[in-house]
Amino acid sequence: MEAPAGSVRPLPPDAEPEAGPGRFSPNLKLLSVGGVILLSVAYLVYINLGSTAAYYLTVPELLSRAQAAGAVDRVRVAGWVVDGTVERPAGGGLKFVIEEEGARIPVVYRGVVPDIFGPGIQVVVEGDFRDGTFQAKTLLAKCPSKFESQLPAPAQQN
Amino acid sequence: MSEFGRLVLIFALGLAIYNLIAAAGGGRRLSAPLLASARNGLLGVAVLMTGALATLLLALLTHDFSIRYVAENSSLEMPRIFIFTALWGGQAGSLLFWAWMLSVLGALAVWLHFQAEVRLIPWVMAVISGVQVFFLLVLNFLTNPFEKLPVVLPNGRGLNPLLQDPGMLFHPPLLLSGYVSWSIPFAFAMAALITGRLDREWLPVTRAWAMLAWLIQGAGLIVGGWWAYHVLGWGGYWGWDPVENVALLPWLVGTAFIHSLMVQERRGMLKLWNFGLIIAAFNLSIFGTFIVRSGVLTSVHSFAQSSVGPAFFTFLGISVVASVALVLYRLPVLRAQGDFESLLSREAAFLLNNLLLVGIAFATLWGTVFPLLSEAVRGEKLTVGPPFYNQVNGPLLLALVLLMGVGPLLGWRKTGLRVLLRDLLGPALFGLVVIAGLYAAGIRLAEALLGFWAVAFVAGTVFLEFYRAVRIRRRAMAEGVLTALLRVIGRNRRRYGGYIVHLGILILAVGVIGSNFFKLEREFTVRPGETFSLGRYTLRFEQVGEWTDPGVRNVGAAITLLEPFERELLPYRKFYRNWEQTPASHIEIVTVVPWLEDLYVFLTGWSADGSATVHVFVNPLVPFVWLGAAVALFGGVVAAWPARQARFAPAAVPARGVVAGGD
Repeated sequence: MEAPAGSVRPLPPDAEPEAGPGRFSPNLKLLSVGGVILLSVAYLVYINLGSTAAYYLTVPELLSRAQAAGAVDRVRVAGWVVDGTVERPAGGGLKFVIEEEGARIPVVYRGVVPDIFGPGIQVVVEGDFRDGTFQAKTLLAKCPSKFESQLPAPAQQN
Repeated sequence: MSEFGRLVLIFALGLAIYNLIAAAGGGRRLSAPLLASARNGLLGVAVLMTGALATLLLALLTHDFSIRYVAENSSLEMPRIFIFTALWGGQAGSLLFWAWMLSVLGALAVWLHFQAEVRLIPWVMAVISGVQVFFLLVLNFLTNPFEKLPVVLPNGRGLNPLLQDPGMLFHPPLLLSGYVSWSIPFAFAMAALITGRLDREWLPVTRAWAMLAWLIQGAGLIVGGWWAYHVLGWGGYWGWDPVENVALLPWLVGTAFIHSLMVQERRGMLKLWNFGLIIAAFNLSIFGTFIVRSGVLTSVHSFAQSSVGPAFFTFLGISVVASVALVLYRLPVLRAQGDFESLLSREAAFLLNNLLLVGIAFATLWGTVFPLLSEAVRGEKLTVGPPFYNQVNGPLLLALVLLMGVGPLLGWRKTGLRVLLRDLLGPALFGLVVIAGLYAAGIRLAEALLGFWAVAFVAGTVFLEFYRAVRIRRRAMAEGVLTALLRVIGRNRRRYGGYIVHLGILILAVGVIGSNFFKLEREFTVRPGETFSLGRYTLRFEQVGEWTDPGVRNVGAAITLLEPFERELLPYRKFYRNWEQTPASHIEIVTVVPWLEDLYVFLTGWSADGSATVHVFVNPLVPFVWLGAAVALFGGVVAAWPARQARFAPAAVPARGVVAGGD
């Protein structure tokens, strides 16, 4: 793919590059390098989607899937933290129960706890569901929007 | 005040509609009076919007709790300085700020270019006015910042404490301004397409505005990282959160645009591609605003969900369809005037750089919207997290950095391989020496060594560029090193400013590699008097204490750093009135100079028995992230600063021989 060094001759400004026998035209070479880049991007996206994507399920969906398959790995679930279930066992970590549409699952988590975490807060946990317990690797909390209901409703909802 | 604000917004909408019609009509018929009237109209919109913004600010400062926005986003106890952050802390305010910024930038563009760009300016005004009409429709009818409450409240709710931070004074307005400022180069590109004046006319002015947008948005991104690092307590500066990702997208595409623009200037190639990039940058800005404001994706930035989503989506659709249709309409004239002559040419390097940048943007976009895509296609919602982005973008960024080293050494059109290899040998060896040193110092991780090698290699090539130019100048002019360096930069600011940006990116890369691969973190639950250690640091927890400031209750943990030196630390949490559920944090961050790393101590919790839970991070090389960003932004300013004399700098003197042909 190298151009012969040293043998540089001045090209007329609009000279067509010649694609002589045994040589690929620069456009073709560029096209193949560009193609390699684009294919690498596609390949990287494809491979890593397969290995890192997590299902986003509701609690009832998770439970029915777990019934069929036993354990469900790499899954993300949203739910409300049930009042009175938050425990902080000695030795760190966090245990709580989340609820959605009447279904409940226990969650254990070690790691950074979001500031607004607490009973009644909607959280999103990601991790593995095994033996009836959700082992969370990440914990996100959604901002409570209770302020909206604290203020008198506006004349027309926007 | 509410009535006045609403009136101003209505007037601004009416005027923007008039401007749109007048500018388009004036552009079609080339009617000078119509165009002058549209120009005055755009200035008028800027005045009106400034009035609207000032009115909202005044309402906030005077605590007019009859206005819903004021009641929701401010309170009597708020320190006055954070009243300003309330201006863009909520949805209506941030959109008002968007529209205001657009009106100011639009007026500035019109004022600067009305004389010089006679052909383009009518359509520039029309496009800017079109965008303004959309934002003013939203502000008037969907989320009016001056909406009244049925009753006047005695006090407001106050602003989310996380937003009551000095970083919030700069991050949102910078980021919003960054989004907004892509509108101006977009408007010029659209004007070029509409008028069919597709040659070089639109390039210099578009480039200047694109550089401005690049700088503002870059600053917004880095200040956002700074804020996250100092306030949120998860020990990092970038989390691949959807809201961060969508802010990165226009910046990445804009970076590609700034590079590929040079190919069109020098070689008349990549015209179609350049239009595609600037169209993408603008529409990604609208997309970003849509994602932030619509709540369709789960994000830690959970802003209130709202009804402006569909409106934004509609506008985005119209804008994409219209701009793509224009490009298709002009497709026959968008043919390249030149051809690639060699893979070893600067234009080829720019094209590959573009493919990588767009590839990174594409992968990031794909990951961000994947939950929506997978739900639409398979009925199952799948999400990806930071590992996806790191594993996909890591290798692509490495390739991009390497290209950053090779590209500038390539001449236009063609470069001899032997000369190139000779030039690359020194920097490559320098990189090897650096990683040999790192290996001897005990670093064994292959990915990190590869990354450091790439950084050292590229730094070597950049150094070589400066060294050669300075040496030539010193010989010719008999100047001192520093004088020669400054003159070299001053004579070709675009080129050497660009190299300074590259240096900044390399410094930043050092910080990213260090903090990604060598971070330590652990959570400790400790009793008073207990010691704990992480890495080379040993700490002792003393006790939990509580104190109050006006409107805030604080709980802190007194901790003594024992090893490697003594220091009192007091990480604490701040409970603001009305926001007891969402305490803000004071994080203790000690930058330890000899190892260039941050000791980062965050108070997670405490219990009645006097014990506390603290999360400790050791973040190596993070200071390089801030330093690198500052250098890169400085380089950007150097490169973007308007030239006083000629529009085009004289063709750069090739630093080394083999550049075939010549312009």
